[in-house]
Amino acid sequence: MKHSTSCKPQTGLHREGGRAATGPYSPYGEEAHSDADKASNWRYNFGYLDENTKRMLRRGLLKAVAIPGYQVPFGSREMPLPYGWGTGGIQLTASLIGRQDVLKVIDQGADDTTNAVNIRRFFGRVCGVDTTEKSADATLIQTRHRIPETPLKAGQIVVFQVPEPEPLRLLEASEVETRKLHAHQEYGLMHVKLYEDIARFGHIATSYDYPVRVNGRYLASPSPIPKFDNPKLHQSPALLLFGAGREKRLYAIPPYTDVDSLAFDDHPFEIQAWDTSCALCGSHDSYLDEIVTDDAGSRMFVCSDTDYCTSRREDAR
Amino acid sequence: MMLTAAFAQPVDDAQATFRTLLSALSEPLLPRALPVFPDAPAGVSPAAAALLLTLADADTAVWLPDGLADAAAWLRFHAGCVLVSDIAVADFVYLPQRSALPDLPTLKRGSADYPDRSATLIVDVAGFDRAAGVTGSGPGFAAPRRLGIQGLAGDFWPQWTRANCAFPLGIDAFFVARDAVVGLPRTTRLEL
Repeated sequence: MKHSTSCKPQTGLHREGGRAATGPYSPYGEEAHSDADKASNWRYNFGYLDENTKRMLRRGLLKAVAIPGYQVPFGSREMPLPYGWGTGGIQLTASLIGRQDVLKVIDQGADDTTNAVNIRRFFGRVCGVDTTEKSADATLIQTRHRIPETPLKAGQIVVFQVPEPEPLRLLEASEVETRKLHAHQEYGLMHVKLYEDIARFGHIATSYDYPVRVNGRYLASPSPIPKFDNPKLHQSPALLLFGAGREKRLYAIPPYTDVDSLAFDDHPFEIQAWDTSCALCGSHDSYLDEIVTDDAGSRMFVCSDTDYCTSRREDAR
Repeated sequence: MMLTAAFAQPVDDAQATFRTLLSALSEPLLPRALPVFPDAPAGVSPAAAALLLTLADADTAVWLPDGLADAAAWLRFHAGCVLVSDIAVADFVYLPQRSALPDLPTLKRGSADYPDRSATLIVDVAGFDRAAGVTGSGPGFAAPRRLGIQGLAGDFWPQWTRANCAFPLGIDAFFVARDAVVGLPRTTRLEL
């Protein structure tokens, strides 16, 4: 592939998102028909979306990073899978992804469930990028409802699929009203909801999609991750991006940003804990799924993060 | 008049430039190397040209200072953006080196309901110096970070502070010098 672009010499600066010197794809030349080792379908633009849509998303993402936790509206496009299957996350990933990226997709922590497999195959087909199941090897992680147990690294980007970006929506149906509540930082409604939990159950019963305050300002939904994952949002070295396709909103938590889970002085924020450890890898500090193993009530607890569990078992061997 | 070319590979070049901008804005006051430098019209640096081609299109209003006729024609052709003379409606404001600083608090700063509907500055500067200058903290800073931005107009920082005194309303900026870009969102707390 020839590049006529003049590239000036690089100084010792971080270089991000660089371009491949060679690649299977060129919309302009005969290389378009070269043998690609990955499943690819070049009848689509790179990343499926058209360039105008990507630019709109990119401008939105920059404003989202500049105003942490604030929901930026965007023109959500029709995608080749229905709302609720991660169309918001897919559109964000499509506007971010480049040929150098290594993509990981998880669904409830697992790399091998339908949603994760399909989205990974989709991007393999419309981008021809490398994919991985290893959290540490990925530059871009699209996730539904979990944050990997392996600590995130600086330079990684996590894209969350969000069904309902507005944490106040179940308390106030009107978008005009919730915008005003955010503008005035009027978040008493949410505190009342948490208080009602305490009055009824004796503790805050919200266990996933637990509301957070980003940088001490905007109330935001962390997406339906278990509250076990909320502490990982705080001062994360990775950039966290959230996309809601049906609700047409995106928002961001920049790296090294304060993220507080709402709580009361006498009812502090607590995460889930288990009496048992993972039946497969023995981990005591990962998020466990309960698996029913027969119709006689037998059950086992295993890590929800399949990559974490597998690598622990491989290390132990 | 010969029209200058734009990105050689529009899809990849815009993507690589955008990722650099995203990481620059995510970690403010940390210079990042830009990956691509398109041919630029007279009066526009190649780095700023890359930013404009990455971000501007028919949905955006761009403000250029007077006297950049070639750049205006180039942007109209390649980006198809609206070029506005009223800086108060611009989404992107380009300031070449040594151009007069507009009144920053008059730029679009968004509304309380929609603070994202605000302007982004693209400023050509002389260089960056990590040993001196302003110290920033806030989102994107693991620890306070210092950066000197050389070649800014004398009253830039006082004006910046006034434009960003009412969070979430405010403006955001990218500074470009030769092959590097520095992001500065409205959330950064600055010690001048």
